[in-house]
Amino acid sequence: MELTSEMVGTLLLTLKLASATTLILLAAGIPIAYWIAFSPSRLRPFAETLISMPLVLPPTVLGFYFLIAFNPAGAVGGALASLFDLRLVFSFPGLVVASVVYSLPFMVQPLQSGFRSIPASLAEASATLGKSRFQTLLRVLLPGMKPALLSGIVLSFAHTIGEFGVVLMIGGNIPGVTRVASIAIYDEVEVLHYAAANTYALILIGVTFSILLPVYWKRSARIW
Amino acid sequence: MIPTGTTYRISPPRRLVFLFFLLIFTGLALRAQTVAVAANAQYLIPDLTDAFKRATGKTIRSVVGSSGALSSQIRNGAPFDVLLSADTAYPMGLWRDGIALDTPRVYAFGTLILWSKTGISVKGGLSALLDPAVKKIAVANPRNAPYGAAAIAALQAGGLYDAVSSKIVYGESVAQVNQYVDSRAAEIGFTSSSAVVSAAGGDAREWVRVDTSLYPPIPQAALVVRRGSPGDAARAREFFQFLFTPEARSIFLRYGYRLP
Repeated sequence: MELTSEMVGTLLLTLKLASATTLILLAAGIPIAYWIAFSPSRLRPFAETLISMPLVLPPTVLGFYFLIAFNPAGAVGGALASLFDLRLVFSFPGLVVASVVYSLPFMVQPLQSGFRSIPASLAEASATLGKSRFQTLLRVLLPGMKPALLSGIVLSFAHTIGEFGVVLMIGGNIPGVTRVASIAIYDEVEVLHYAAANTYALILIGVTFSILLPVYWKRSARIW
Repeated sequence: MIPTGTTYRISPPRRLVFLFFLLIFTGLALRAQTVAVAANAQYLIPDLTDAFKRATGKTIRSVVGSSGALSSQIRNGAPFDVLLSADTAYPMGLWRDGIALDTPRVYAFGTLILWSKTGISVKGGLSALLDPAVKKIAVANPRNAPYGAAAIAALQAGGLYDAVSSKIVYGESVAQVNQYVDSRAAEIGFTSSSAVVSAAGGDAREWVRVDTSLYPPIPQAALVVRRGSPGDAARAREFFQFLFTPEARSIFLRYGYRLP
C-alpha cells in the first residue's frame, strides 16, 4: 500500500467536505428538527417528507437539478454568479451545498427522535422556573439528547464521505477542489490502477468503521 | 412394465419453474450481440446498427461508457461481444491479456472539436479560450479519455496550457463534456466531431475543428471479445467486419471521423 501526496490531498479534501457539511447541517438541523418535533403546524408532514426524500431518490436526480440550477446560464446560477461571483458547479462551495441537501435526513431524523425522547415534563419544569425556550433548548434539551447529537453528526459525516453520484455530476473532477475519494477510486479503476483504488478503499473502510463504531458502542453500552 | 399406482405428474409450481428456465435458456440462445461503445461513438451507433440490420437482418444492442470503464468491465466478464474503443491502448491491453479474439483494428481516426454554446466566437480556434467570458473549460479526463489527452496536448502545443489550466474541469468522458457544454455549465469544451454533428449540427457557428497539427492522431480501434460459444464469436465477428465495409465507413465520415 503506497500513499502518494496526491492521495493524501484527496483524502484531506474528502474530510474537509464532510466536516463543512456536518457543521452546516448541525446548525441548520437543530432548528429544523426542533420545529418538526414540537410544531403543531399542518405543514409538518410535508416538511418531513421533503427532508426524507434524499434517502430514497437516486443521487442523479439531485445531481441533474443542481447542474441545471447552479449553472451560470440558468436563473439561480446566473443570479449567484452576478451578485456574489459565486459558481456552484465545479466548485467546493457547490459540493458543500449539494452535500447538505443530500445528507439532510441523516442529521434531522436522529435529532428529531432525540427531541421526542425527552419527557415533556422536563421542558415544562424549565419553563415554570422562568427559563426561555432558547435557554431550555441549550440547557435542558440538547444536553439530554447527546446520543442523538452524536448519531446525527457521525451519520452526516460518514454519509458525505460516501457521496458519489452527485459529486460525479456537478464536481468536474478537479484535483484539490472537487476530486473527493469516492471519485478518485472510480478514476483509478478506469485506468486499471487497482492498487491505488485499493489504497483509497481500504482507508475509507478504516475511517468509516472507526467513526461509526462509537455510535453503536454507545448504544449497546446504554442497553447493558 | 411401468409400475402402476405411481403417477409422474409435474406439479404446477414445478411446471412454472420449468417454464421459467425454458424462457431463460431460449432467451440466452436468441440473445442479441452487444457492442460496448466509447462515449464519442454513441451518436453514430444507431446509424451503424440500423445499417447492419438492413444488411444482415440481425439486431445489435449497444452499451455506452468510457473506453476505460468498458475495458475494465470486459476484463471482469461483462457480457459484451464487440468493443468500439476511443483509443488503441485499451484494446491492445485486452488483446495482450488474451481477452480479445483477433488483433484490434483501427476503424476510424477521431477529430477534436472546440465547442461553445454561450456565444463565444470559436472560429479563431484555441485563442477563443482566452476570451474573458470563459470561466470553465470542459475537457474529458486525459488519464482515460483519448479526446481529453488530445485536448491537453493541443493546449500545450498551442502554448495555452499554463494560461488556462486553472479553468479546466474534467468530464468523465466526452459524454460528460458534452453535457457540461450543452447545459452551459462550462462556457466552452473539447469534444468529438460526432457530438457536434449530432447535437449542434444545425449551428455551425458554435464549433470549430482544432488544428490537427496541434495534437497526435486519435486512432480508435475495435475488437471482438473472447467469450461465449463459437456461434457467438462468429456473430460478433460479422459485426466487427461490418465496421470496415464501405457502408459503415460512410457513416464514420458523415460524423466527422477520418478513415484509416
